[in-house]
Amino acid sequence: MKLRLSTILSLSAAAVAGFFLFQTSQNVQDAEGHLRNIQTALSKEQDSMRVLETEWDYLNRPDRLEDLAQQHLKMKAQSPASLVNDSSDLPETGAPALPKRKPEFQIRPAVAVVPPPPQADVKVESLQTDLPMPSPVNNNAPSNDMRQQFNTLLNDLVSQEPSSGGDGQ
Amino acid sequence: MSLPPLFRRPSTTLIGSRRSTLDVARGRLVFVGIVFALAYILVAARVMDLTLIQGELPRLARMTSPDQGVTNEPVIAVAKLRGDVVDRNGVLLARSLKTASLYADPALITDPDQVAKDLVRVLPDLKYGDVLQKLQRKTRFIWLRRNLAPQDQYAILNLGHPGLNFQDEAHRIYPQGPLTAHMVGFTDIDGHGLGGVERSFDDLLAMGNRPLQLTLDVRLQHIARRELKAAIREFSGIGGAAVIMDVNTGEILAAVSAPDFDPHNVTQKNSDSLFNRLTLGVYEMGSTFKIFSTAALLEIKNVGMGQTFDAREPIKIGRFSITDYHGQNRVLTIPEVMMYSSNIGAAKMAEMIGTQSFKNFLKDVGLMDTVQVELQERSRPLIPNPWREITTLTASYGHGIAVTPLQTVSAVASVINGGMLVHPTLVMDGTVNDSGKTKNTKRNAVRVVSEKTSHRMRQILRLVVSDGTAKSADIAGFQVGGKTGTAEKPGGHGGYDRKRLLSSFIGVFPMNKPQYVVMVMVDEPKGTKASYGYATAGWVAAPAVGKIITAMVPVLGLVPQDIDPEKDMAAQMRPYVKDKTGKQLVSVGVE
Repeated sequence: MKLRLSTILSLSAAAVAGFFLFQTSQNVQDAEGHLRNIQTALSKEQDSMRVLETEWDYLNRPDRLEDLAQQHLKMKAQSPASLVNDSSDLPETGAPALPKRKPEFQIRPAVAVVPPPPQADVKVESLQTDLPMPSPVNNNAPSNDMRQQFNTLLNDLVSQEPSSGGDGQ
Repeated sequence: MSLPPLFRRPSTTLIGSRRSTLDVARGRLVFVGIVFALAYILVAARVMDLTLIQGELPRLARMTSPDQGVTNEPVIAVAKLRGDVVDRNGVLLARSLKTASLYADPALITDPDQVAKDLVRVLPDLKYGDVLQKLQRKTRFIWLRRNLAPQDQYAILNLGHPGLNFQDEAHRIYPQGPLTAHMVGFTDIDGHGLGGVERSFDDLLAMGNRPLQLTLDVRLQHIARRELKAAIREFSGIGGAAVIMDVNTGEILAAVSAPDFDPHNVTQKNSDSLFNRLTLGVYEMGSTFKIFSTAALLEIKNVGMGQTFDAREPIKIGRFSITDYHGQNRVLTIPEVMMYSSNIGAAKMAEMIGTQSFKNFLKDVGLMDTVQVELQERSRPLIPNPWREITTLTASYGHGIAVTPLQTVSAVASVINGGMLVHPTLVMDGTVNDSGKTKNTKRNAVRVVSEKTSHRMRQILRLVVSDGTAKSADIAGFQVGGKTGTAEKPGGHGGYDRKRLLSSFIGVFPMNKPQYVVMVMVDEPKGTKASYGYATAGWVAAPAVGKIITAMVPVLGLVPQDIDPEKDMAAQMRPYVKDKTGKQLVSVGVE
């Protein structure tokens, strides 16, 4: 049977189309896998942020800070009477001892939002095509080194003052 | 057809009966072809619909819409965590964390002995025998330990034993521990709120959209709790309560009830410490009620400061007898009635006001209704029914009517702040809008006393602290004013028990422009050697309020003001006051 040119052309067009379709589909699967990884990493990061924020507020309990300040600072709270006696020496308004609000409490983005540079269009293109996998962030526990350091620090603190922390009673 | 030769159909011309047969066959083929083509188009359209129109486009629209960014929509489905509770500065008071719970599949464990040994080494609070026994059961699932800390989970993963698995669960954490226990409340193991705002905002928190911001400030909360506990310990009280409130908005900056509890570990055994004395307990508050009888007198009868009341004889009505604790045995002016806390004087004031007017006044300042605060642990005041004449007299110095400490504080704030009614509130404005509930109680302009009466009351309350029963609450530079209240608690058989007291002090500062009201109440204090055996409010509660104010100064960055004694709020009241020996108290600095 004699192959006609039209048949050859349409067959090869189909083959080329199939090849591109296959390639696109592979790319999409890759990208989806990539997206899934990033999202997993993101959610794990968010989880550990939640844990760390809680721990931060736990460690900054007023009673604990008070105990630590008493043990380490050798300072006393100023009595209002001593302020009154020479209040002319004071500036008009006293700054609060602690910042009144935690910075940016209302909006706390998961990732710091950086304002885009002036020629951002080109950069975004390159970002999306060939982004390397982010370094693994899924480990909730710190590395061995960090743990070691933290334990040493903790032991130092504990050996110096046995009652750090506690209920403030 | 003038198609190029490449696509021209090869054709043979047929004639006769053969031709018509072929035509029919071709027609059928074309028909079948069209049917198939339609079917394929249908399938293709449906595929487009499912993948693009119903699948991708809505998702893209969601991701690009401004209010729901990527962070709010975790693509990996996680169980919705209960919302946070934070204080006014954003410090966490309650948060749900995903924790891992350890379970075992005994069928997969080959060496239970070794596994149990390793587990006990990592989790020292597990018992070896207990774990071993669990691991040898004939089952496929057994809990070993709920809600592990992340480092414990890490350590167990490091052991590498098959058959030990984790399941994610939500665990409610209260980083501040017992500090805000009564206000924030607690949840059961399934995350249902059982107390405090956890209970009253259960539905809102269950949605978990955004944190619930309370008006509390953990720093002030800590100060109030520390000084309250110190006072209770010093005078061996059975409990107590403390509040710091903004007099103008009613925002509760600190609210403590003692004894308190650990919200992580609530059992029915400590049901006494679960009791919120501030909003659920009703007490006869004692002399702090003289603030209301005096304010009512000034407001309704419009009398001058020089108005006198004969306090030489106790008032006798039936078997009752109203006597003075700090008896002066002479005729007293209005500031003197407050300063020496004369029950007789207060009763005569109430008599002058009249029962109906006095009741109306108490209702206006919110002492006759359930306290309005965003908690479900609230009590109605105990008001005698029927209200007799004698009740008017006893209510004037805070007996015979029992109210919650919190509503007393907010009523004092309403009288002092210039006369506008305030309601205590625990939740910051603008945080409650997801559930459709809006707060309408705050800053509603209801006047309860005139500006002038409010000013007079500030002067009188300042006098009580500068010269009267509460000198220990006088903090230099802040013009503290206030009123002590020492109530006797009802005894076993109808009367009052002179030994069981309720000592409270409500302080307001700075008196020239009130900002904060501070209340400390100690239940059943006992006198100590240092207080010469006294357990009255001037010895118990007033010093505690003084210490709280002293500690609040650096936290809030308040600036003390050096005030000339002649410009002190109490100065104008002094001409009306004689000291204990009956001498006119004109010159300042006699003390």
